[in-house]
Order: sequence, then C-alpha cells, then structure tokens
Amino acid sequence: MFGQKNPDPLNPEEELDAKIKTSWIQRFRMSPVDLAGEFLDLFSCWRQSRRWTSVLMILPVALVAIIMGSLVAVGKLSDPNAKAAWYAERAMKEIELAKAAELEKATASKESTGTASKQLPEFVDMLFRRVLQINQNNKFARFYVAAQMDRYGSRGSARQIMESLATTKTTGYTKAHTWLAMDLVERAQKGEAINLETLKYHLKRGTSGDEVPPSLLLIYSQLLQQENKTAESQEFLKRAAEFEPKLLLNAIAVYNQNSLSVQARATADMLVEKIKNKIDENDGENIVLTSQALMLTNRIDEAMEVLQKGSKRFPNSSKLARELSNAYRIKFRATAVRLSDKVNVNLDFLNAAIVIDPTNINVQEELMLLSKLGIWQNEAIIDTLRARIATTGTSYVARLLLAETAYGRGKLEDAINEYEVVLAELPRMTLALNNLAMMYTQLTPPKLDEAMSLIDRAIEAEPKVAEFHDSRGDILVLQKRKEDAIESYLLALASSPERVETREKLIAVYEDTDQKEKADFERGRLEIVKKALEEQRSRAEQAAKQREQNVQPPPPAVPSPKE
Amino acid sequence: MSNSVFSEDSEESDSIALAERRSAHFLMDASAVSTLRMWLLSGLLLPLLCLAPLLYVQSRRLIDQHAFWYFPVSIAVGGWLLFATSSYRPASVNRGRMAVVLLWIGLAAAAFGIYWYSPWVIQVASVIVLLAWSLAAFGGTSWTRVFTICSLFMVTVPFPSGRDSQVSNWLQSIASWSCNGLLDVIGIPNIVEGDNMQIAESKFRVSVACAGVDSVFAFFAIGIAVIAIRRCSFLSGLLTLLTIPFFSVFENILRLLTIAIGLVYFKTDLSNGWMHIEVAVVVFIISLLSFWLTHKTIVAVFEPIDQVIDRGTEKSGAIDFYQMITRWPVDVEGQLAIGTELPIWRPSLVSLSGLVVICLLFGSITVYSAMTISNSDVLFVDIGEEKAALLPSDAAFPEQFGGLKKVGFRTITQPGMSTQGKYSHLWRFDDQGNQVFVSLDFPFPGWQPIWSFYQFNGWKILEIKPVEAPANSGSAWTVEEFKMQNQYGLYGYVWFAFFDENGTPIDRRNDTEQLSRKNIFERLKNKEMPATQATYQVQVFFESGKELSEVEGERNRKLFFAIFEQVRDQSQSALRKAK
Repeated sequence: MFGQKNPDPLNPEEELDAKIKTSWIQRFRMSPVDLAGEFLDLFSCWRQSRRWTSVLMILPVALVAIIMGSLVAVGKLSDPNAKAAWYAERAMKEIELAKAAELEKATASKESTGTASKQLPEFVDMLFRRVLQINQNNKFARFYVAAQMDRYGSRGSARQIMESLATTKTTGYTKAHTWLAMDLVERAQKGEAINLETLKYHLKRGTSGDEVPPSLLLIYSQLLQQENKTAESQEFLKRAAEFEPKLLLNAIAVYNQNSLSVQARATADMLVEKIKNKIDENDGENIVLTSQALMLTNRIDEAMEVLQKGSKRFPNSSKLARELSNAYRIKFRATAVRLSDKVNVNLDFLNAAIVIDPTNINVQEELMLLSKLGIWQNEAIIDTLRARIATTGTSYVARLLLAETAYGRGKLEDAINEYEVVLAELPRMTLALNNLAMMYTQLTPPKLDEAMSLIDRAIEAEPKVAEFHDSRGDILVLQKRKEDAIESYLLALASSPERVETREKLIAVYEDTDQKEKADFERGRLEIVKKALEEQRSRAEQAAKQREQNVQPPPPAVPSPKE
Repeated sequence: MSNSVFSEDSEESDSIALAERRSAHFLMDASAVSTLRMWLLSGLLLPLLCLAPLLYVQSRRLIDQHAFWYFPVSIAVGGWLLFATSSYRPASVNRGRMAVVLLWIGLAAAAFGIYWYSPWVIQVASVIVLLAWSLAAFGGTSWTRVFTICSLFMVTVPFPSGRDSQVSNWLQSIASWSCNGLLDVIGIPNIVEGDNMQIAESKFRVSVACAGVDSVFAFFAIGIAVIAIRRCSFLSGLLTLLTIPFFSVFENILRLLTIAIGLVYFKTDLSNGWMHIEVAVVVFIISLLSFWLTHKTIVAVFEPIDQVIDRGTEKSGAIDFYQMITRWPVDVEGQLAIGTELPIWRPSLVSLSGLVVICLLFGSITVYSAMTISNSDVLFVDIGEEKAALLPSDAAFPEQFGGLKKVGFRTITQPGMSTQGKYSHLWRFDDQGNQVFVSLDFPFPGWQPIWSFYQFNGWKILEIKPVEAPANSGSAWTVEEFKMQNQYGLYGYVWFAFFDENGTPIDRRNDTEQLSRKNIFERLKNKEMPATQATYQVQVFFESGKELSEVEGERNRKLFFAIFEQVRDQSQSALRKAK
C-alpha cells in the first residue's frame, strides 16, 4: 500500500496508526450495511469539513464547458443528411445570389448572359465541399467539387469523378453528362481523338437538363443533322436560340442545306421578330443578325437596306461595315449573269464592298472568281477595265484586277504600281497590303523592310487573319529571322489550324533550326489535319450526293433561291 | 491542521520550511557540510559542466521550437523551488545509495548520448543527474517533493521522435473537430480540411491560428509549479495535471471560435497580426484562470477531513483511507531519516567518477565542436538567398518532359526557417488533364519524412513503401513512395528523395545523425573538417481521380527518377558554380 513507512517505536500514536494500516482488509471486512454506514460517515464528515466557496469555484468553468460540450455534441450528433441539406441550401442560395449579381452587372453593362456564372465565390465552393464531407453520396456536391477541380486545373481528376457520376452504362447525373460532353467537345477541338459514340451518348443525356450551354445544344443539333434527324436537330437549335438568338442562323442554314426554304424563311422571320424591339442595342449587333437572316433567305435588298440604315445609326461600327461589305459581295455575285460563253458582272457592287470595308479580306474570293473566269487572257476586258479607270478614276476592283493580270503575265513592276495606287487611296486595304508585300519579296533585290512594314499594317488592321501571319513568316524567313518566323507561323496556325502550307513551312523552319522534336510533332499534327480534311471532303461529297437523291420539289408559292 | 495543503497556509509552511532549512544547515556538523559540498561538486557541477557544450546545443534546438520556449522559466522556477523551499541536508543512507545509482545511470546515459550524437539524450541524462543530486542533497525534503520539483526540469525535455508534435497535432485536431461542430450549431458554415479551416471566404491554418496547442507543455510546467508551490497531495496534483489537456483544447476552441466570430460578424481577421496575438494572450489568460479555478475546486474537494476528531468516535476505516490518500505524500515531510555521510566518497569511486567525468568532458567537447562545424547543432540550416537563386528554375524542364506538359513555375520563400525547407522551386505539369507538381525544396539538415505535410492538408496516407532506385543512379539507395486519398475521393501519389551538395542521393535508411556522426569521424581521421552541406529534396506529386494501376504506378515511378536526375544534375552544376 503506498504511503506506508516504518513506524517509529518511540511514538505510540504512530504505532497505532501502523497497526491500523496493516489491517486494512480486516478493517473493511464487515457487513454491507456497516460498510455503507462507514461510507455515510465519511460522506457526512466530508460534507461538513468542505469549504464550499472553494468547491463551487468550478461552477463558471463547468457551465462554460457544459454549454460548449453540449453544442459540440449537438453539432456532431445531428442528422448528417439534415446538415448536408442545410449546407446545400446555403450553397444554392449563394449561387442564386451570384447569378442575380451577375445579371445585374450584365444588365448594367448591356451584355447578354445566357448561362450561369463560371466564377462563383469561393464560399460556394467551400459549402459544396462541406456537403461532400458530410455526405459523400451527394451527387450535386460531387459534381460541383469536380467542376471546381477543373477550374483549378485538375481536368483529369475532375473527369474521373464526373465519369463516376455519369457512366456510359447507365443514365447518371445529368449535369455530369453535360460536363463530360463539353469536355469531349473541347478535347476534339484541341485535336484529340475522341469516341463520337460516347459524345453522342453524353449529349443525349446531358441535353435533357435545364442548364445546357447553347454551344452544346448547337453541336448536338449538328450531329443529329448529320444523321438526317432534321426535326430533332432543329428542336435543339431552337432551344439554343432561346439563350442565343443568333444560333437561329444555323437553323436557317440547315434548312437551306435541306432545301426547306419555307422553314428557313419562317425561322428567319422568327429571328427578325425576336430582335425587332432590340434592334438598336449591342452596337448594331442585332442589325447584323437581322441582315444575316434576310440574306440567308435570299432577301439581299432588304438586308442591304437594313444595313445601310444601321450604318447611319452606328457610323463607327466595324461589324456593320463588314456586314454591308459582305452584302455588296453577295449582291455582286447575285447580279452576275451568264450569257452563253460570257458572264456579265456589275463591278460597282464589288467596288462598293471594298470602299465600305477595305479591310475585308473576303473580297479576295470574288477577285479570284474573276481571275478564274480568265480576265487576264482577254485583252478586250483589260481594255474595258482601263477605260473604266479612265472614266470613273476610282474603280479599285479594276485596279486590283489589272494588278493581278500584270502579275499573271510576269509584269511585276506594273502589278506593284497598281497596288501602290490602290493603297495611296485606301491605305488600310489589307488585301492590297498583303499582295504588295509579297510582291516586294519577289523583287531583285527584294524590298524586305518595306514588305515587313506593309504586312505589319495589314496585321494591325486585321490581327486574326492567318494569311497575313503566314506572309509575315515568309518575310521573316527571307530576313533569316527564323525564330520570329516560327512565332508568326504558329500565330497563323492558331487562327487556322487547317492551313497545310503554313504547317509545312513551319516544319521546314524547325528542321533548319535543328528542332527535330518539334518538327516531328508538327509532322504528326500535319498528318492528322490532312486526314481530317480528307474525311471532311469525303463527308461533304457524300452529303451532297445524298441531298441530290433526297431533293424535294419546293412548294410552288415561294420561289426557290436557284430561280 | 498539520501539513496543510491549502493555499492559505502555503506561505506559512514555506516560511517554516525555510526556517527549518536554515536551522538545519547551521545545525549540520562539519562532515555533513563537507559531504554536501563534495556531492554538489561531483554529483552536479562537474557532470553538468562536462555536458554543458551539448546542453547548449540542445538549448538552441529548444529555442527553435516554439512549444518549448518556456524552458528557461521552467528551469528557473524549478531551481528556485529546490533552493528556497527544500531542506538542504544529506539524505539517509538508502536514499543516498539510490541517488548514486541514479547518478551512474545519468552518466551512462550521457556517455550514450555522446556516442549516439544526441543532445536530446544529453538533456535527459542531465535531468537524471539533477534528480540524483537533489535526492541526496535535499535529505530533509521527501523524495516525492524532490521528484515533483524535478518534474519542472523533465517537462522541458521534448518527447522523442517528434512525439510532442504528434501530441500537439492530436489536441489541435480535437480542437478543430470540436469547433467544426460548434460552428455548425451556431449557424456559421465552415469546413475543416486537415490543418486548414475555412469560414466564409477566409481560409486559415489551424496550426497557425491555434498555435496555443503548443502551449500544452507550458501548461504542464505551470501545473507542476502550482502543485509544487502549493504542496498539493498526490491525488490533487494528479487530478490537476489530468485537466491540462482539456484546458489546452478549451483554449484553442475558444481561439478558433473568436476568429470565426470576428470574421463572420465583425469582418475582422483575427487569425494573424497583432490582433491575433492580443486574442491569444486574452484567451490564454482566460484558460489559466479557468485552470486555476478548477485546481482550487479539486484541492477543496480532496482536502483531508478536519472534523473527525470532533465526532469523538473511533476512526472508521473509510475515513482513515480517505485521510491517507488525500494527505499522501505531504505527511511524509519532516519525518525523514537524515544521514550525515553519503557512501560515495571512497577513493576508488572518486577516481572512477573523475575518470568518467574527464572522458565525458572530452567526448562532449569533441562532439560539440564537430556538430558546430557541421551545422548539425541546429534544427534548421540556411544557404542564403543568392545561392538559392542559382538552383534550377523554370528553364530546368522543357515544355514537354516525359509526356508531361509544363504549365507553370513559381518559387516560394518562407519568411522564417521552416521544417518544409525555406525555399521551394515548384513546377506544375499537366499529365493528360491530371496535375503533377515537382518541387525542389531546400535546405534541410539531412533526410526527413514529408508525409505529415500532406496529412496537415487533409490527405490520408494509405500506404508508404520504400522503392529501390534504378541501378544506373550510382550506389544502391532507396526513396519513399506513398499513396494517399482525400475526403473527396481524389488520390495522390508522392515520391521524394534527398541529395547533398555533391549530388549524392541520401539513402532513407540512414538518418541524419548517423550520417553526420559517420562523416565527423571520417573527417577527424582525415584531418579535414568542411561544413556539412545542406540537403535538397525533390518531390513529385501525382494527382488522380482514380487509383492508379500497377502499370501507371510504374510509369510514374520511372518518371520520378527521370525528374530527380534532371533536378539533381542541374542543381549540382549550380552548386558547383556557387562554390
């Protein structure tokens, strides 16, 4: 027994104590009643001898501890489902608030928004993580956490979680199907090989939800169209148009492809009607939409009228200028009349297209068309063009055609002169800038600095045109600035990844600069692009053949566009 | 009331003890005085003097650990209690023998500490020596009291193998877990993920916000001091000490709660800066006050019964038993056998102990010198910012490396010394949509595990296994590989390895101190004493939404070794350049 010590024989009291202590067992060997009495005595003595002020000092501490302990216990023992529901509710409320705030912001800045905010507060993220912490099976929380992982750069991990929510065997969580479909689309856009059937599977299930991005609806409708499921395709397009009216343009195009001009016209009218009241909004954007709808349904004059009025309302709108320029181009094509072996064209429309928007590179298509008709082989036409310049003085089309003719005949100096004249009057005419720059490189000795200056002006006016970056790359190669040339070629490919020639030039420069790994990589990409183009071409041919077989006579009331 | 344990009487009893001590000192005969002097010299001063160099090293290490900053105060209070409240006179022969045995155990431990190159063992040995000396020199004071006072020295010894951090972390996790439930109930949305706590849009580290958990050891020191000063019974003292973890957790719940309420209701961040320190001080004072009130209650509940005699009845067994357990060991005071001569002063023993002490002195100074030269006297090493800047950066990896696509690089410099390395060069790669982080962390004083860092960030370690390095990377060495999972089902795979300034990989099987010792002996032999280099750690973290297959694991393992070689080669040339 602890506390025992040797008794002092000289101290009788201690000796007595020692005796008592050595017989503890005997002392407690008694009836339970006596034992209880002993303990009652003990308790009585204990109670009487206490200093209760000191004993009760613990009360405030105990009170705080009991309150805190109880709260912790309630917090920890409460129903996890109820707790998860509370957190989910908070999260949904925060999402609604974020959406409302974004809508308010968008309304203030007059920008339309159709989808939910992508940058929800970190707080919402936290709430969903907590839901998941409490209940791992909460699909919405799992979906949300995975989507956040994607936002923070863990796309692969997010994908794996989404795949667990929406397997390819059974119908899973709709939002996860939507996310996976989007992911597949993005991967395909990056050139990654994807399983089309899996995409269709996720699209089918993902598009049944409420919050589907319009772009996804559009893709699904296109895929359905490829399968000739026009009705279903149009349904999805119209759903997409609820968020983005301009998507109706795609629907019109699809109707046109299928020679369903009545439906095309009705859809165009629907679009015009939809944006009629907002025609003055978005810096002329809605005017452009209206004109496009009209043009797609062969109402070019109406479209031009709308655009001309719009140009007066928004004189600084480059979009309107481009659209009007394109309208003139279409009008030019529409007025071309084939008479036995001749084609009568009205160059005024093309000239107007150039004057309205000198940066419109698409004019090149019409010029190429004219070249294909063999203008420079026909002296009479050349004379007519010269006469036209002599009389009107401002026919840019005539000068451009003469320049092309001179170039085609090997008269580089003459071609340069024509372009220089055009640029003196229209210094921002990108087509002339690009062509002249390329001609400067062909001079002996080449005027590379001047060429560079011209192409830089073209890029400044139209930074996204792959053609100009490609030309710049060519000039840089001639200047022996190969690293800069690589940069330019890459910029060109970023705008138009399908440019085979540019990629070939890039491979050549990589090889010249001993970057074999990169050259091989690009070579691989080139093969993929070539294959994709080939497939696209054969698909287009197949589709054309099919259309020819399935062509239906148009209803008599509405004239066909071909007429 | 004799041998009172109550606060009202403690001053009185202290003055009585002091008077007794003084009178006893004057009453001691010359031989007892001489014995005590000799004992002081040989049983305390000489051994401590010999161990002083390594004790100095250990004190520097304690200073590096916030949790042990209280150690000088604890030692000072212990010293004061020994000399001011204990009876300085030779102990009984039996106690003297026990003291001598303890002294030899202490000296053996010291020798072992020198051999093992461990300042921690030296500290343990010093405490044993001090206990041995106190037991024999304070013969007029019960061994239990001496032991209680010496506990103030013992409480300054960290637990081995970082167990003190584990205790702190455990208490911290209880605090954050409790606070999590508490905040749920009061309607403050919150989440705890490992060491991180998030409330609204504010996130803070529990270990930083709640550094108070570190104070659990200081709390113990305070508790022991209170028990010793108030001369509590064993039962009261034990119960008082048992409440300390509760108050430590209570303090931290209170701190977290204050921070949460400050953030949510007052939009004030109390998790750092001066406000945080003020909150910490206030909460610590509240906890101390609560502790004091609880202690007072414990003592009042378990004080002996003083009205038994008034009953005039024969003492009952239950009351006697109660009296005994509530009085022990205070009753023992003043009833001790006192010796006049300790049995250690035989010439042979003196010679032997002298020899041991000289050996210890030599060993201690040698090891101290070697440790100082090799920088192993500190827990942290620094290589300087200039040298750090030379180490591999963004350009160390091409845009594509082993199928990984580089997506980012950044450097992180910790404001103070860090157990995770002061500097970090961090590359982020994309592995077909999964994130891969490559990190070069430095400097470290040798090899050390890193999984606690991930555990702190909410990961659960599923498996840790050593992996043999491929044969082409020089001599055989192993690295650590571990698999983890977080609460969202995400998997993490980490490989890490260290190399020194010569680029030599450090085998995980050799711990830092063994390495250092080996190096020091080699250097002494070769008469060359260059400073021990810092070590550099390369870790690669692979994230995955699913468990990796064996094939995928093997691919990542190979990738790790390729990355390690790349970083090591580039670091080596940079370090050579720095030299």
